[in-house]
Amino acid sequence: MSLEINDLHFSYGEREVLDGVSFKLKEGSLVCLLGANGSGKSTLFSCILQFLPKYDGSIKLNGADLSSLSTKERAKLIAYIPQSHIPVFNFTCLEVVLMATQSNGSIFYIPDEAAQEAARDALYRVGLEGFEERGYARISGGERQLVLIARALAQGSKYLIMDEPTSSLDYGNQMRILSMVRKLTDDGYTVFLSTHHPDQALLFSDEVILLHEGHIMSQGRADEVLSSENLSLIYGLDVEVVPLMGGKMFTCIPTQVLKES
Amino acid sequence: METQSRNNYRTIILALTVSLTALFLISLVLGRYPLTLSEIGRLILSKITDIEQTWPDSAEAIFFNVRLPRVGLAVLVGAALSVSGAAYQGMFRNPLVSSDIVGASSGAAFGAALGILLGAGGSMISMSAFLFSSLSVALVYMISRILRQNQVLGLVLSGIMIGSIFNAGTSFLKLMADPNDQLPQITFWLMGSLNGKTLEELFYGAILILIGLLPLMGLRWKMNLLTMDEKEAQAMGVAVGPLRLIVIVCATLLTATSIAVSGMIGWVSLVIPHFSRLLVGSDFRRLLPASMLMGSCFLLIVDNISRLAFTAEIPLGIITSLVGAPFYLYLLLSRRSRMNL
Repeated sequence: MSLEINDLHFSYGEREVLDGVSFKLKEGSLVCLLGANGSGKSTLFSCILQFLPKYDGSIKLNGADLSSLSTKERAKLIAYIPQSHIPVFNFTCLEVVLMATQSNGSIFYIPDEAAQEAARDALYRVGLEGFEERGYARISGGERQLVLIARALAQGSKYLIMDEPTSSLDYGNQMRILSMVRKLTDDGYTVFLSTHHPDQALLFSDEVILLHEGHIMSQGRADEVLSSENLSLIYGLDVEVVPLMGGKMFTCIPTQVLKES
Repeated sequence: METQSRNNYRTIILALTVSLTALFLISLVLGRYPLTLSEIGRLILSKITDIEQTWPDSAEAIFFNVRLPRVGLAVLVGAALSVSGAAYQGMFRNPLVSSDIVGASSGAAFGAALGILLGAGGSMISMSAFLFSSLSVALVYMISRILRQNQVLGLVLSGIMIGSIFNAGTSFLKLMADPNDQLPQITFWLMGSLNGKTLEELFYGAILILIGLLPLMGLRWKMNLLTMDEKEAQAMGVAVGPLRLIVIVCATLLTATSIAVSGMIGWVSLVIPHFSRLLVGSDFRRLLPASMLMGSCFLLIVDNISRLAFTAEIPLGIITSLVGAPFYLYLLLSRRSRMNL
């Protein structure tokens, strides 16, 4: 049971964005994907989720090639949690979560009691009791992100792909969302998320994958992969990773910026 | 809270159903030649079993040839315009679009004007309007596929383009038309009316509108997913492309049929879904039935004003615009809708 990517190539016209990407995700782990802007993080996610089906190479989940599955079958295996955004129409939180439950229904599916129950459970799981009838467009950004996580849980797939889930959130909400996601891996979920904050990877991840100019630069435990040299290289900036609290934790300091100021 | 809102929804649907039934019966009774409910009952019964004729022949002619087709079509067209408007708004993720966004009405106008110019009769004009309306939407859809960009944006752009070509065509036909009889006929048609409809038109209109309505009603839950980002919907297991195509075909069938039988009736497809959303929320499970009932009620009321308020009939499009535009402004200005489009 794992997500396995083998020699993945993808180009937008002449520009090769992914140039031979191969890696394997362990089931039940939280894996952070780091890389500079334009390094191919979003493209990689889009290929895995088959939004960009014209890639070379193979993407297998539990041995099954994701490109050969139907949209419906794929949705049962893998869920996508986008960055939260305010929708045009103000659905209630329960309605938003319910949307993911249709993947197990017929063409003329209308959610039944069981689906309603599953959606409510998912909302409780992310700590949003009492939010069922509240308008999704009117809650805070952090709460919207939680609703989207609940929606992925209601979908029933065990692999979650999150595209920069904390990018528009304040510090408190970033930590709350990531702790929530961390706990999900204890229940057997595998989470693959992209982030621009090495500190988040150092705090929460089981594994880190560094994507640099279209290929995997390094994969492994955060404190090994996120070395001062690696971070300086991918972000093009002198960065130093320093131990805190006697080596229990690490954080990174942009030394170049410190020197300049 | 969930059960409370469900009860609210049931109450609203029940209230709308009762209002529609009452309005329907009142509309059958009222007219320059008033009928009584018992006369109407016996007239309908006489078509099923043999009963003794207690009514004048003129009552029978008026009921079956004039009033029933007109009132029946008002119910159907009101429902069709509102449901297609709600569908287009969801699909284009924009509460400000109406059912003419993909060129259905420009095509229909051209088809009707062409029919009138060629001297065709009533049902041939409707047929021509219907054909050109469908042709226009088919062109818009094919061009949007060629454009190969964001599909929603592609549809809007090609809708504007094709719409503008057909509008130019309609203007040209008006220029060619005989100013003594054809031009007023085209102008009157473009303003929308349910005057002079026949039982036959009611029959075919009902069939086409049901063919468009039923799939949308069945798919109404999935239409929620079309309002989300295309990638999100796909990741949730929906084949967005085929679903969108079905919704376009059904919504276009509704629009084209409505325009073909009643001419251009503006604002209904824009305002009614809006108002329904304020009552029952954005979920298409509730929005579609509520829009359907409310659209029927609205058009029945407007048509009654159109035929009864003044000695000369006022075209429907004029009244719906007069009522619809200020109402829409009110909706936009009210605090609730500003946040809750």
